[in-house]
Amino acid sequence: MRPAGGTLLEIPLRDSDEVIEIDVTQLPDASEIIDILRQENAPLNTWSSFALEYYREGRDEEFLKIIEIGRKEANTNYKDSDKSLMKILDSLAAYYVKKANKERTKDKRKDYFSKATVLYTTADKIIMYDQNHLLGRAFFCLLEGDKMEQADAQFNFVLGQSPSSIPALLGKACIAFNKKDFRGSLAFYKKALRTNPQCPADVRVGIGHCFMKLGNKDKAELAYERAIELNPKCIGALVGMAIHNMNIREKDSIRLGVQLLSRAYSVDPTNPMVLNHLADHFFFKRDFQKVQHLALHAFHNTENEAMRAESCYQLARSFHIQGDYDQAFQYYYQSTQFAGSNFVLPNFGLGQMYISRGDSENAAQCFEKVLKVEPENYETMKILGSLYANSSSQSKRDIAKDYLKKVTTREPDDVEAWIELAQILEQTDLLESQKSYNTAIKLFQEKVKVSVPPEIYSNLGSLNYRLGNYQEALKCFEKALQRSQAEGEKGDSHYYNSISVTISYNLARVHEAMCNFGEAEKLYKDILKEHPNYVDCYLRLGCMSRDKGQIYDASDWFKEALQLSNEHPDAWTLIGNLHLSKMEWGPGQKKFERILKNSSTQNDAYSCIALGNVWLQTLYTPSRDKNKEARHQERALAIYKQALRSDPKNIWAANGIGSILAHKGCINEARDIFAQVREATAEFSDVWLNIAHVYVEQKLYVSAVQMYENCMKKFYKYHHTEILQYLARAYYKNGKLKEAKLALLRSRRVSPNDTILLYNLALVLQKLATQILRDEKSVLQMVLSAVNELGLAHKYFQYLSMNGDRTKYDLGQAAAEAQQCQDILSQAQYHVARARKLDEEEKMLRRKQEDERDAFRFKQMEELKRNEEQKVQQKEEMLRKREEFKEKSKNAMMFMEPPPETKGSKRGRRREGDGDIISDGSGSGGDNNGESRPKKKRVKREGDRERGRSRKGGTGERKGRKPKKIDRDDGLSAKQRRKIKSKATISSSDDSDSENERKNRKNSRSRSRSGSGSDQGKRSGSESDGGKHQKGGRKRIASSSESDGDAGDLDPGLEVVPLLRENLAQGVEAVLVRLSTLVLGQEVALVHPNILVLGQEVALVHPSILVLGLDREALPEDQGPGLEVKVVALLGLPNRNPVLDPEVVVVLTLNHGRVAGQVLVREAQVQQDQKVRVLALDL
Amino acid sequence: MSFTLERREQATHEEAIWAADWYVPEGGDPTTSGKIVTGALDDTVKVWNYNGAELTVERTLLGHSLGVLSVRVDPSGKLFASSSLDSNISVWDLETGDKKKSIDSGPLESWTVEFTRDSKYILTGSADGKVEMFDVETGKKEKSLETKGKMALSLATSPDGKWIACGGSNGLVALLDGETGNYFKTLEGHAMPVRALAFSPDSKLLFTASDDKHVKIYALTEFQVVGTMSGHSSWVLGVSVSQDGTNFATCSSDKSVRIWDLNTKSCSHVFNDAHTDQVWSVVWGSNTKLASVGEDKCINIYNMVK
Repeated sequence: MRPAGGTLLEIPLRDSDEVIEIDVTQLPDASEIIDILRQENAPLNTWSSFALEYYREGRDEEFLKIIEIGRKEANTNYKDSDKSLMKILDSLAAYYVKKANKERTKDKRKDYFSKATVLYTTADKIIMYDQNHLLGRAFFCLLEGDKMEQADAQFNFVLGQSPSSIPALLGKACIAFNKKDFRGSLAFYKKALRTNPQCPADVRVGIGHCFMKLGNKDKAELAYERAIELNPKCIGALVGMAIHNMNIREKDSIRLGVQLLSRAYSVDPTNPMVLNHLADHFFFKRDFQKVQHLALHAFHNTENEAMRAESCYQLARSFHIQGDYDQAFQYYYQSTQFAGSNFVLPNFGLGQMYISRGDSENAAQCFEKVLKVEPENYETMKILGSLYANSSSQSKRDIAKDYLKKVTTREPDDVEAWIELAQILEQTDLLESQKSYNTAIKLFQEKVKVSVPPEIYSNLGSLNYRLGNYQEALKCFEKALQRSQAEGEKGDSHYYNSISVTISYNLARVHEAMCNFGEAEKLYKDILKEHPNYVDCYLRLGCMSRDKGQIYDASDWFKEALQLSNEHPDAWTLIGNLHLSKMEWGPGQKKFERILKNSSTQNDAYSCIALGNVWLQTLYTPSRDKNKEARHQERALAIYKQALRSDPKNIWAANGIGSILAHKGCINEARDIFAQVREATAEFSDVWLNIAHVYVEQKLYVSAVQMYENCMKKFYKYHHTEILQYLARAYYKNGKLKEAKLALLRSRRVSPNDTILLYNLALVLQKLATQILRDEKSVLQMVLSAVNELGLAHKYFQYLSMNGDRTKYDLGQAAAEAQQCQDILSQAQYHVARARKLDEEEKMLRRKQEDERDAFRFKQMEELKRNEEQKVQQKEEMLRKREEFKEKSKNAMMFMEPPPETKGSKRGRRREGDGDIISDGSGSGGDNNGESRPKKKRVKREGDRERGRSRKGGTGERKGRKPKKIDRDDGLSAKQRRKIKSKATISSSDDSDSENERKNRKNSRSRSRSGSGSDQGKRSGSESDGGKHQKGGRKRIASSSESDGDAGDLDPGLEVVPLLRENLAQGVEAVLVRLSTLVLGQEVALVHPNILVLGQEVALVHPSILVLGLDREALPEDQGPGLEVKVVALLGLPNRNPVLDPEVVVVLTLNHGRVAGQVLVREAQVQQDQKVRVLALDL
Repeated sequence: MSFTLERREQATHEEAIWAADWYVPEGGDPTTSGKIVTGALDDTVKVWNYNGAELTVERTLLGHSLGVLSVRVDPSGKLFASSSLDSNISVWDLETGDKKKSIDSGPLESWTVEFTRDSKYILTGSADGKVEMFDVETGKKEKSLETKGKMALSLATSPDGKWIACGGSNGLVALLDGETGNYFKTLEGHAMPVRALAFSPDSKLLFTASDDKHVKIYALTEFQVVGTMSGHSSWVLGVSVSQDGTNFATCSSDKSVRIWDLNTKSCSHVFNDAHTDQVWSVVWGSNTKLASVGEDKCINIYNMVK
């Protein structure tokens, strides 16, 4: 803005053409000049010229004075005086702006700004679009900070009017630079330079900065060099050059940089920029004294906040490195206050200070600020990751995981980050965590070339342990131990010793999990030798003894632990559990109460629940007091609730509450609770049992059985006597006595001396035998073994009534049962006789059928023979005729010979084929086929069954795959698993249930007894019936021609033959069965080997006649003749005519070879001509 | 040394197989001949012929009820005995399959069976802790031997006839004099049921298998524990020593069969999931052949190659 002109200023003298010349380099006192100006009534522009000169001289006071007086008194009575006024106003405003910019105190600053604003507004009113005025305003806007856009607009306006206005160009350049549009900025600077090559060096500095930012370092260097050339004292250029040189990071260039800085320093020893950069240099030189000195100096020499932030940062950094964290904290803090949003380094430092103060909350905030500006800065992410990793909030930990994952993908070689990531993943994703640890280990070995720290191996070992990879875990811990001992020899033996102990303990735990109990025990004992205070070892040794059944040893170990720490809750818990396992409720209760009395463990949920369980179990003891029942229920409930209050997610407490509800009879509510608990964890066997018990209560026996079985499979590898009894009970209630028997036998296989088992077994045997005896279909073999087992039941009850355990069941009841067995046994002979008779009849029948079959076969053979003979005869006849023919046409038709020959040979072949079929059907080969086929089928069915089973297993597995919660606490995990055992809600061995059962049994027995009586009567009736029908009914209607005779027997006037022919497709054979005559056990032989097909329609030619129409196409080739249809059951109401009664199911058995199957024919309304569909086929 | 599963015979019984014994005739090639006897919950006893490759049913014997829980071939190889949960003991001719004797006793008076070395008597445990001695010829009870313990779940006689061992439901193992049947000593060590016992061929060692997942070896010279083996993750249900006494095998509810080296007393091989359910019994046919049976109705034959 310097106006062109010499070093002389002229004051025009009043009323003359003369001037007073004043040398601006030797300005007199301002008052002198003012006097002259006043006297000569100088025009305003003269005033302003002088003012500016004073300003240039740095004589601000005088400048102000001249301006102020000039504004009021100067001669404005001349052309263009407006412009002069504008200039005055603008200059003054600019002055204030400058002052404001330098001012630190906010109030004063505001004051200056407002003064400037007033002046500019005044000027606005005079000539609004004066270029200089606008430029001034624009710079003002720039300085005010937040009016960049406004400034930009004003510069644009100016440029619109005079495109090469240098101030406007520089302003634009500045704005562009600030907006990080370096290319744009560069263009403006260049334009300014082109417009006025004599521009001050600062323009070249600006260009240099732009080039620097654009990465064009060579050009930047040139620009700085030129600037320094133009103005050797141009600090901006010196500093720019210095920074450029120092950034090259070579010894020489750094030296050069420092030299440049020193030069700048000698030019202006107060320039904060220079000072800060020097401080920075000395920081790296580790001359912290100098750093502090320079930074402080810089700080006091500037009002610019960014500069001050830099200075504070330099100070803080030097304190930080010297370990003076308090001072460092202060300066970092101050620096963050001054720093603009982009200068994040002090936040980084401050964050570190917060960390050292343990204030991770604030630290995280600082680093978040850094990350906001530098979103890809991986160090910050890493720090934040590790800060959040330790946070108690899950969402923070998730963020940490994200950060760390990012860090590891960006810097896949950062071991620390991998370790941090692995550690945080330990909580959520064991497999990923394992992978991360493995990566870290690999990095240690391959990149860092440092032996892996023992802690890493140890952590990885724990992880593998939790994943169930015991073999891997073992290796890890062994390596960890090795490494730890090696490290210990190098130094810090105390630390590594303590690590070694922990690793040894972990190693022992792995051995324990692998069932290497010997090794585990040795390790625990070795640890105790050196560290007799390691309580956990005593506890584990105790648990191992306990699991071996050595209760007293276990107790000793636990007590040993208590000697070291006499309120150790785990030790007390374990002792309490020992008592409970031995049914010593009182002492057990006391132990848990003791834990709860201790103030530090008064909310111990485990003890609460254990106590609740003690109360709960009193509800199931045989000798309980009915009056106290409600009270004990309430007490248990209260305790469970207490546990839930301190831990609302406690599934064991929930399970207890469910049990109480079940005991109170609120089965549905209990079921809901159990279902929720089961949802929460699959690792808690009691809840499985409870759900199964509830199923039993709800009569969902199939589900109950499944649940019991899955529970046993999942939690117990061996035959668990108690669960097997539950299982037997569920089967028993479901009427599946055979399965119940097997379950009890399995149970008895492992606990032979359990007399309750014997009692239950006897009961089931008795029931089963009664059932078999009553069933008229029972074959001799079954009846005999039933009688035998009834005898055993009798023997057992007799034994139990004498030698049984009085506390577990009623001996009198056993005696009564024995009597009952005796009664049934006395009737048994009758049943045996019946079965024997039946057996013999059956044998006879079979013989008879075989005879018939043989006869039929013989007949067929005969017929075949006859056919064959006929054919042979025919052939001979033909041959003869042909010969004759040949003779006749010998000469005339020689050429006709071939065709008949081929014809003949064809026929012959066909005949051969026929022969094959016949021999196949009747020969011994056919029999073999018939046998092998059913075998195949049987195998297949078994396969199906197996598949079904495996499916069941599959669901179990799926359940099992739910996320496992393994307690991290070594001492507790095993305990937790073992500890909480709510007594199963309903136990069959309990008094109440067996009572119920017995009651049920009594009822059913009385019912069954009366039933069997009437059955007998009925049976004799039906038997005689059967006899009658067998005579008349077992007739075969093999073919239409044969049916004539029987048709008379059936219904007179029924036209069977045409109907059959119409209804049946070609090649289909039919058999007529007269429904009204069908009797149980009756056999109807099919003459031809036929088979029914599912969905096939069978014509019912008459309400009383069922035609089994069979498709030969569907028939397997190896089907032998002599297929029989046997009526095995006529379902529906017993005494009603299956034909007249709708909804009747006729079950027929197709008998061929040794396989019996069933054909179910169901018909709602049986009418003539109606078709009956085969609904089920079970062959 | 390597071990392989040579054969896996499936669905050999209709229900779980609870017992097995393997007899190799005197002078026969132990790798190619022998008879395996199995007893199952389906009440049948089956005699199998093993010819080194194939396992074929020779006989299916009926008559038991409530499940066959133990079978044992007598030292002479002529007879074998089987016992079932209904407290019946049957004695059969191994060759013909004829039932020689059927001995019924009280509800809790018989359990697993064992022959005395002279094959004259059958031993069985009863619930009151006694060992009952039945005459094979007459089927009469000859003696009741005192064990000073709880119910005898398992029995074994030493090859030299000097000892009768008897494993109790409380984990204590009673040693009786093989000649007189007199009580001699109680070996402590287990606190859970001992379901299987075996003597080494030289009669100097006794192996005990218990629900506590451990197998212990007692030296019968000083009556001390000389080895405690762990590794099974559930009850150990069977133990058997190879004829040359260099290896022994164990089986467990954990579905596995383990083979141990007697010299090093360490596990030399594990057949994890040898069966799909509990493995009830393991028996050596020779030094290199081993069989196991289980709840899954399978018979497994293993081969050992040195």
